[in-house]
Amino acid sequence: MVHALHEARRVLVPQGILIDLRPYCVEAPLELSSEEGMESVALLDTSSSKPDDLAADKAMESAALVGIFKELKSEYFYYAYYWNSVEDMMLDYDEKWKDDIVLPKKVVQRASSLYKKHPAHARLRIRIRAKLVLYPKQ
Amino acid sequence: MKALNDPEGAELSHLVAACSLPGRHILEIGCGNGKLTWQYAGLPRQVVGIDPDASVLRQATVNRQASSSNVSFLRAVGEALPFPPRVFDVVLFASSF
Repeated sequence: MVHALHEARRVLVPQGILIDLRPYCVEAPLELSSEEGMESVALLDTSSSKPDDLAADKAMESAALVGIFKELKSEYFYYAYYWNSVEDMMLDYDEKWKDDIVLPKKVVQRASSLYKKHPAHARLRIRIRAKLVLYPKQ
Repeated sequence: MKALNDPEGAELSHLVAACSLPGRHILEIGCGNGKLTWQYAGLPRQVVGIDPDASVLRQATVNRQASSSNVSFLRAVGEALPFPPRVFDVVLFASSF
């Protein structure tokens, strides 16, 4: 990871900028969106990615310590994934996310129950907090 | 695609607001299937996306748009970039740490 940062610095022009943009959260809200508004289903545990987040943070701190990059600014924001059905959400979950997000059966049951109240227009969404940091080359 | 991914364009809008991309040469490390790449590809002068996974790079290429001659994808890893020194204005690690 630190070696990749040295490589990034090598290919950057003077005054070049490294951007670190990645999901950064320990809980992700799962919600049901319908014509009646937004309803919370659950907060999902995404803490399995925490070690990776911390390792990445540590790599950037190391890069700052050796003077190759320096943090200019950082911000956090949310982006979302939407599904038109509980079944679609589960297919995506099984295919891509089961190693990163804990989705208990009771949460799926609650999502199904809420969805059945608004089958025509409801969508499920999960909101992921992201971190964006700019590091000018030093 | 079962999920509608970031239909509000939050990632793109925050990226564009944080850093001027027009006219720049961008290297995206860990571009994956090019989902984010293709969202901002119309802005910079040049975009190179790299990823170690050949299968996702194929998806990125399949998603190519007609007016995208400024975008290329390479199979490579961040620890050994196949480029000479001082050629990119921006290096973007997008979910690739």
